[in-house]
Amino acid sequence: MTRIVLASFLLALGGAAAAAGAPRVLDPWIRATPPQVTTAAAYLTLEGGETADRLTSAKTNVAAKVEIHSTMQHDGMTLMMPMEALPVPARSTVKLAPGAEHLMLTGLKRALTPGETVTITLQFEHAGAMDVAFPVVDARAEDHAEQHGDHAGHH
Amino acid sequence: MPATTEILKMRFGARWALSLAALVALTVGSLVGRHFVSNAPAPSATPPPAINGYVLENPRALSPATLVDDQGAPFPMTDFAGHWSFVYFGYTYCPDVCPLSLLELAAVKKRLLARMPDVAVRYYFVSVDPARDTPERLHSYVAYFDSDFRGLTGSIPELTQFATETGSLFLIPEGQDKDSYLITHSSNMTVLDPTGKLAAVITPPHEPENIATDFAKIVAYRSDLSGLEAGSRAPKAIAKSNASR
Repeated sequence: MTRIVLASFLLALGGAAAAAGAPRVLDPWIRATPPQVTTAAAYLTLEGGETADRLTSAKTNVAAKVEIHSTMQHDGMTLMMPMEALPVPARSTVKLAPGAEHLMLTGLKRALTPGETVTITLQFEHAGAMDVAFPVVDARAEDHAEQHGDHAGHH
Repeated sequence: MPATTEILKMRFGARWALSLAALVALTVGSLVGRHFVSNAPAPSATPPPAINGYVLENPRALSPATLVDDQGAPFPMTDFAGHWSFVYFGYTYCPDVCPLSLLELAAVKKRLLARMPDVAVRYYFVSVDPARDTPERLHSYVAYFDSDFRGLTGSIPELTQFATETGSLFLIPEGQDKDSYLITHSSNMTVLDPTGKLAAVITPPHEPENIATDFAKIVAYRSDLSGLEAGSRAPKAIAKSNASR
């Protein structure tokens, strides 16, 4: 009995250690698609764990492809740059937000409607795969705009 | 932050980078530089107001062209006359910045309706992706963001002319997957005056409150227009006729 308790204690401890090392996902959301549109952008905040990590890829079964992209503004030009990986430094916050870094879904197999959730598997270099539920959000809603829509602080 | 040329080089290779960067310099230079070399009398004695972008001291006439609206009907450039216009160049496959800009434009519209109800303003999303953006697709796209927004597109030469004359650029990559190619484009809010001339270019980063404030400055600066409008049509009547569509 003692052994079992000890084992589960160690297991719990191990789990906690892994969790402390892995980046934490906060506030994931994906923009609902306008009619006929087959691309979408997903956003989230990553909190770095005790050690540095990198988001190297992502996939979902609702889209043909998920890429890590950065929207950059230069001299009024909007450039979408694919990123090989997104660094998540230890104990730091990396925000993916409209008009900046985002996960770009292309070749959507269906419309994304507000209220549903889309599972995207994030692949980290060290923490491994992580399934994250992204609520589909109608970005036209005023309260949402206040919560997420402000991107004036970027760049 | 790397220089624009460096970014373009990474994205498109050295050859494109140089020509694009040169084009950016030329386009912006021709707009801003215009009032320094122009002999035409300025419409206003005061210098243009400072905004997030630039206001032209001498509004620029745009070359004739016939675009296509989101009903599939011809849209001659002269249709920009009679109201102020916000013009945004983008495309419906654009996943991040175009939906964001249209959401911002919808927020701008709300503010302007409340603050300047007598000023007639229309909002245009000009697709630079005519190969994929049919009028029907454009219509459902713009209507999703606001039922008053209008979609326009046209031939590539006409779109190029319209964009460059208003200080915007776009670049369609060649030989890529039809379902997923991305277009690099300017993210300006272009402002045309009620005579259909280029009045100002509001540059990113965009924030609805700032855009609304900048627009009020642009309208106030163009005091020449009230005289012009009073001479032909009452501004009120224009506002009313445009409100019904």
